[in-house]
Amino acid sequence: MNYGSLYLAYKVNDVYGKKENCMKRKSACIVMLLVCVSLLFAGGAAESKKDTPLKDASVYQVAEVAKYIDDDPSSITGTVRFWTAFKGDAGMNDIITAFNKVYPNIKVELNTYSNNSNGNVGVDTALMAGDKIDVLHTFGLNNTTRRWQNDLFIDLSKRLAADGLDVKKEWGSDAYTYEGKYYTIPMGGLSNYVAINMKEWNKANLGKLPTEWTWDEYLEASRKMTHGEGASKVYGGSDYHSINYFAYPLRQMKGYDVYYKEDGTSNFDDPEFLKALKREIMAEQQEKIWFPLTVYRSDSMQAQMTYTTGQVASIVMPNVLRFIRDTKTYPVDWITGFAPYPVEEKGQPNYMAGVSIYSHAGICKGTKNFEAAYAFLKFFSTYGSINLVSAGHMPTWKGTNLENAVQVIFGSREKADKIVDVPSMLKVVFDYSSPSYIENNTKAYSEIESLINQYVLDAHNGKLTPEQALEQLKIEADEAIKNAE
Amino acid sequence: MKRLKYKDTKDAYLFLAPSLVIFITLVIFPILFSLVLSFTKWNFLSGFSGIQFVGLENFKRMTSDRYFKQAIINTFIYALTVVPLSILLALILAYVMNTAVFFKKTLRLCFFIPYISSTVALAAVFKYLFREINGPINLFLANVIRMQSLPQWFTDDRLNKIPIITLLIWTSIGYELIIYMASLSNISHSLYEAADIDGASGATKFLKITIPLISPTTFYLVIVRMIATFKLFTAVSIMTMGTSARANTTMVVRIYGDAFGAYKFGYASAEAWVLFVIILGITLIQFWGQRKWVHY
Repeated sequence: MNYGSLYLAYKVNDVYGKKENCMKRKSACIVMLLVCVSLLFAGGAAESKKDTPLKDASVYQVAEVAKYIDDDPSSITGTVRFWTAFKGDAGMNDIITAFNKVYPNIKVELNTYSNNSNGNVGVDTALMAGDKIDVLHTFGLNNTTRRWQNDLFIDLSKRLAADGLDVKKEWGSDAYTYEGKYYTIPMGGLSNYVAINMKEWNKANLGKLPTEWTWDEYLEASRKMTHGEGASKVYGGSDYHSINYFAYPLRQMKGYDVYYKEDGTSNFDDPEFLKALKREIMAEQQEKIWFPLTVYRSDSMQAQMTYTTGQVASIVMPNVLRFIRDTKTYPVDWITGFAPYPVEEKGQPNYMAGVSIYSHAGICKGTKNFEAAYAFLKFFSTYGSINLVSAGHMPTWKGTNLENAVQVIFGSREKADKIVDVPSMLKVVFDYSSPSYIENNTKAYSEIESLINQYVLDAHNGKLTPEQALEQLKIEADEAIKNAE
Repeated sequence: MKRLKYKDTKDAYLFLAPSLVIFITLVIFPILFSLVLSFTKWNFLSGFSGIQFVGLENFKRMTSDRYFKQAIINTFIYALTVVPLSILLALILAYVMNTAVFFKKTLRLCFFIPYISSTVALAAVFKYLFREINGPINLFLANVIRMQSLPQWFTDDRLNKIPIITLLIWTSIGYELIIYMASLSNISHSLYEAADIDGASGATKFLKITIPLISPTTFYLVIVRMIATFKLFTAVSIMTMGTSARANTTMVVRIYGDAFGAYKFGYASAEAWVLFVIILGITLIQFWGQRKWVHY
């Protein structure tokens, strides 16, 4: 049952019945269009008896339409050049199709860039050129703040206020401003979890999937799932292939700005960093129950490669859905279950369990058609953001109707059941009720991440002990922060 | 007469103008601009108005930049291993192939192909060859040599230059081989015949006749290969992508990282000028030294 569509239909009747003027009839038409849009997202298929609404749907109240859609969408014309790191078949084409059902006279040109240092240089160069990008979907706070600081986005504060859009109420946080202004909307998030090969999990007789577990428990499960030798070895667990994931246990505990202390210096003398680093090295190098980070880096491998080829039985990941839904490129013969990101101690708040803001969208300076760009930006950040789930990312918009998420990602509940354990996926991956990690401080951020890449890998290689690596990291991070001032 | 000379000069400059405009725009201006930038702080995103003059601060910062110093050391290591080894191997191969050898032209082609191939593609292939898990070299070491602890080629600081040096030598041998073969073929046979009459051995002929007479070619190759190695970027960038970069990064990779990774265009320009001074200094030393060992 598509409750969102029913609610919207009710609103249509409500609007049409009570008010008779032309503008409201247009609003009713718009709402009907949105009904069609939501049916499009739902695949237009007959409801499945297996569909169950989310248990805690109160967060996902369907919002008022007028704030997000213009009164006369067909009157807005133009071309919007939209740059994002996701390809068309990762949900972006669906967003554009849905947008054009509401705004038929705005043409959206999709450009996909690589979200790495070279790709972001290309984006920055295009931004500098001034007339190549209208709406930019920017990833990572480091890239986003750099673009704010260099006046590459248009200030949206007044326009959002005029439309009655409270950024904190709509997207969950008002922290992402620059000099008190909103240059981008924090509309995309990441959910970190442990993706589990249920065949290996059940073979190891590990029982039900946990709803909360500690790192010790995850290591124990990894031990039990590890088997084989040489080329046929299956590692029970793995951290994500990014080196900075060694800091994520502290993100889980602290909840914000994990690289920095309150006095502005770096935080790498926190004993929890040493504990996390030693645990990783022990699991990978000594017990050999986790896939080694050194091999990820030296062989340029990524997490989805080791997981979908069965080299690891479980893995910490933020975006496994993007890959396992593509059954042609990543065929697997098991179902993926989901467990939350582990905690250091039971009962601790888990700031990695919720959806952390990761990507932002804004309108670039030099855009020739602000109205068309703004119309697309609003749609992309609201109704359209549900399609981020196809790319493994999460919408942060509070009005998102997540009941459609399964259909959006997999096409139908039947298909989803063949690939994932849907209840654990909905509970863990789409956990909007848990707290999430936020970042406010980006001083010398890219330098700190470079230093982490260097010293953490040195510790993994055995070139430095974990203590030496973190000591040196602390010294150089403090220096970088001082230089940035 | 003067008028004719003026007209000739004017015509000459007119014909040169298109090339000069391109040369000035794409070469001279960027060089001068980078010299100016080396005394500034600029992240390029802020536009020209964001350029801040900082004097010699970039150069002072370089003296305490451990990464850049390590990059200089790494670059010298690459230069001092790749250049002599590749030239020596090329000379030996050229000397052997200059005698009666079957399939000389085919062999010459085989050695030359890596030189004309895409460095990106070759670097990707070598990265695959030296993979820690299931890389052909480690598979050979594990299954044939029965090595217990397999080398971590890209993450072990003691080993991570070896794949890069191997690639660089393999790709440069072809060009050096061709040059040496041409040079060897220009040595008069009468000199060798005279040496034979005097009872000189093969080694003596090689050391006393061949080496001195090809010394100008050797000098040219040393200069050219040294400059090329100091500008090393592609192979290192591709092969070390994602791994511990400090142990095997080069100066140009560091400059690229500072400019396009950290957006420090002023500092990167200063590093580039230091690189220029180093290359110029080494080249001048070589030109001074050639008086002792190059025979024209």
